[in-house]
Amino acid sequence: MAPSDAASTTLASMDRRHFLLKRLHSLSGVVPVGAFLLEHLWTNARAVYGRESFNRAVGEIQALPGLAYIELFGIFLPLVFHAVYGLVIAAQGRPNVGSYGYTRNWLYLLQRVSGVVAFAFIGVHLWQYRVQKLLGVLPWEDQYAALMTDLATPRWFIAYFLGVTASVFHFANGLWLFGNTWGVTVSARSMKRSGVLCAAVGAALWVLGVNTLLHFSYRCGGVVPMPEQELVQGNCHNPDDLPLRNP
Amino acid sequence: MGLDTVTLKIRRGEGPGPSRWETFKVPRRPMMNVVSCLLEVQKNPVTADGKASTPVQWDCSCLEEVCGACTMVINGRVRQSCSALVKDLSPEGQTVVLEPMSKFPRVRDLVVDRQRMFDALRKTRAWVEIDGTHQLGPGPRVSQEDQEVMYPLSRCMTCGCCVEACPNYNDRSAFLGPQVISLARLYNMHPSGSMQASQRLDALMGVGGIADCGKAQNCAEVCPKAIPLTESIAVLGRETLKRALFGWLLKG
Repeated sequence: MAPSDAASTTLASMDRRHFLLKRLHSLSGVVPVGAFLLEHLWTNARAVYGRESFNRAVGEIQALPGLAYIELFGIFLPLVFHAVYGLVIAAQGRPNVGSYGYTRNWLYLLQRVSGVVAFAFIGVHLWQYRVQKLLGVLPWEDQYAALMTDLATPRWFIAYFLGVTASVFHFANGLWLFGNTWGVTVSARSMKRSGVLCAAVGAALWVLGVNTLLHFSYRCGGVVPMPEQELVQGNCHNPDDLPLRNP
Repeated sequence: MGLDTVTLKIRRGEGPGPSRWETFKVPRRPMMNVVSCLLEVQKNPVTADGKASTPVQWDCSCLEEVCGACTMVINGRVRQSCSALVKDLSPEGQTVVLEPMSKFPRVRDLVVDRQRMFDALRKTRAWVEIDGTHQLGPGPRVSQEDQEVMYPLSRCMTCGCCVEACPNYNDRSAFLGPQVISLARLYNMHPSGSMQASQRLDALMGVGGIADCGKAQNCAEVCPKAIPLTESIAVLGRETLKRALFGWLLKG
């Protein structure tokens, strides 16, 4: 390469699309996709207070004006962009934790693995509930029964446990990456501290999400056995219209 | 077994051709490093099982971990062979495994072509430009505070450790690597170098630029000069972002 080429290379890279696309990927993971994850886990956690409470929370969301547009442009399309471009990024890396087993290098690998797991999980999750509703197989109201029936089976419970774990990890570590990428945490000390903070946020979200899953499975004779009296007193089930596996 | 020999297992080969492993046993002396082991192989290039071989090729120059030429993968980890001491690698006679760096085209045996790193220096204008040979007078003073940041950055010797350990620096990506990002930061802080600061930031916003960093942070872990590479990437991440978001508002 002649020295004059150096100048032309610099000019050629005035094209900032690549940079902006990468930053958009980082941003989309936090807002709106990450923000939606928070909202979704938070709303679903209302299930712990029973069927009424859960259905009311879902009903409030379904009453939002322009919900279809919010879902399409605010959640679905950003999610598809984040997931597809994320796969492109993941395909460019060659993980090497075998030779360099540092914490951040493991997190680099886990971020990619959890991204792929979350992608697959979200695909199944959308098919299972959203697409079935669009196809008219599932009713638009009162998903509680369907969730209880599904999550009471060990297969779905494990799938949801892995999916929620992967999604929450991906979000929490992604939050750390966002801070570092966007020039918020620059010093080594701030990187360390934000790591602790993001781990705490991730742990709290994970407890919130898994608790909801356990609730759905547990109260209805699912994978975790339930003490007799609580099964009877449980505020979530109504043996008359909910399919219980072992009432 | 007595500790009168050092066993070296070396990945050898020519250019992009197939690799082969050869094992050598060389006399063990106190204070040996990997370079002095390779000098012993050169004196008597006979493998451990008695077959005549050829001297193993490798690069080295300063022998004091300053030039970076003798960088190779030793027992699976990238480092300089001059500062890799036999007493640490093989205290009880363990085999020392030597491989060329995997991220660069091999020339022969342990010698690799690090042109990709030098191309990256060019792309990012990682130097201080002079506009002629005439007397320019003394340069501006640099504050003590800036000097303390700049000195560690200036220790970079383009050895290749950071890019060898980087999972995003490979044949599937055009990533320029942590080294040039840190050097761009150094020259952007330099009073004369800062005159090309925007050009360096622009270069780092292209394909293979700073946005291709995957934050695995191996670079800072393996850097033999303890350069705060991850901090440099974060600093320039902030600078490039500011330029990308607000630069066009100030100047088309």
